[in-house]
Amino acid sequence: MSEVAQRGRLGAILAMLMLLASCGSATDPSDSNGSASPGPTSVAGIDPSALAVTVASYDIAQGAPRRFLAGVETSDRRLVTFATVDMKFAFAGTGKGEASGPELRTTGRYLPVAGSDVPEPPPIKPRIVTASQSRGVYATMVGFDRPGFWEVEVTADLDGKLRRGTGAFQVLESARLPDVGDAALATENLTISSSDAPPAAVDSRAAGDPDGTVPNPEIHSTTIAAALAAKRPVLAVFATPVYCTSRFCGPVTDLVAELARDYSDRAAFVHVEIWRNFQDKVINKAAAEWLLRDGNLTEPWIYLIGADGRIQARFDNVANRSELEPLLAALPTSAAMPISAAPSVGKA
Amino acid sequence: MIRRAAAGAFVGVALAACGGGGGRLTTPTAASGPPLSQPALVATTEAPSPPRGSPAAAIDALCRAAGDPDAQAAATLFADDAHDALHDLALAVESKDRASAARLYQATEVVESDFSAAGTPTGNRSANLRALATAASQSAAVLDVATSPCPK
Repeated sequence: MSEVAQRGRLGAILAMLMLLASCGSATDPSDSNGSASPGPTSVAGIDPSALAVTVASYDIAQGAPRRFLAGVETSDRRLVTFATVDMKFAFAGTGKGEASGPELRTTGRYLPVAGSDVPEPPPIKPRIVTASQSRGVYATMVGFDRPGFWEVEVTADLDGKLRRGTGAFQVLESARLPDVGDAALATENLTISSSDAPPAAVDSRAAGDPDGTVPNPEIHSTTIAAALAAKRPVLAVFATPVYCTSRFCGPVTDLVAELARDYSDRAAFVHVEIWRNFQDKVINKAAAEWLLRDGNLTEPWIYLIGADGRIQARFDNVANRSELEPLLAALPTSAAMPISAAPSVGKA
Repeated sequence: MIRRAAAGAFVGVALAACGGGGGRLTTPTAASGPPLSQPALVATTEAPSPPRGSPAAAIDALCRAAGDPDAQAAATLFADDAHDALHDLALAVESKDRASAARLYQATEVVESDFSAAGTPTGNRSANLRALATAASQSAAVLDVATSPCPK
């Protein structure tokens, strides 16, 4: 239960860094042949061929390689999608003094948002599309050797021309949120049986239902604490499908509901709604326990918790079936945890 | 005190700040428009299209989608020309008028549900798109951005 505030100082610094990256460094000074090519320039002096790169990962910490996500757009807000892009990472400093470091280069592979289309066969080069054609980010695995501010430069081969853009982000000394290997928090999240909460606190989509029915009972019927006590694996999604900032909350919640129907014999499935009351800025306690740190909350997140109560994997912001299904399929089958027979909570 | 991640929305803000058209949360006005000495811009009799990603462009797309009997065409209009701008708008409004932001998010979700569920009656879809356009226009007003809801 906390109050939402405006951007903090750290956020402002990072935002400024991102802004500078978007404004200053995104312009590709050379074409695919490496020759000088100022290209078309807007009135404001911004090269419209430059790409806008948005780092879509949360809670990035130094250490072992982690999944890193970046969304790539054109200046007119169409999406760069499919195939792969080159990603080059460089340390930008700590804010207390600049320091140089080695550049890291990786390949980012297209990760479509759950439910988003990819042509068959998949394109071998990236393409610029509209949101109705496909929506997704580029994902790679990368480890950062030091905390501080970093930049990623993304290069995409679009119609034979290399186009670039940069984004900036912060690497933390250590993860602030529950991480792989940590003991899962035995959280008593709200369920459809919770009599002390409005339906929209169980799932924000209930607010739009005339009867206040909580959708997808298969992910609103048990608690993380109960599943841990039963030594049952858990796939938990923390998301607010209605009041979503990232735009990916609905798709990932739907995805977990789909997986719940297919793999209920292998794990318990839990959706934790972020907001108890969006308008009054009240966060659900369960969401705060997992995601609220130092006044900062990011979502959506998906956590896979093993039968031993340890976090096996976590997925920030964007995840799709191809990432989650193999992990679920590898779990041993067991008797399904019965879904509560309790009726949906109404708007009493 | 909580800060919410706004990675997606930041792109639009950054582009707007850089001078690009994407995600701009202001509507061009006479005071902020190009100088009148540019004859190519003043000679036309057509109203200029609102900048892509702006609230006005999103509302325009919603109104066109509301009037389109083809559900697929309406869904494409919504996804391509309204959805992201609506998220940007809602996020921008959150700090000024949370009730408006809540209404905008909720109206957006209703329309998204219409498009994801097969068989939504055209009349309901059209009404929900118009309601969303109205919510967006009201949210834009919170930011002192003048827009027009769908014509009757």
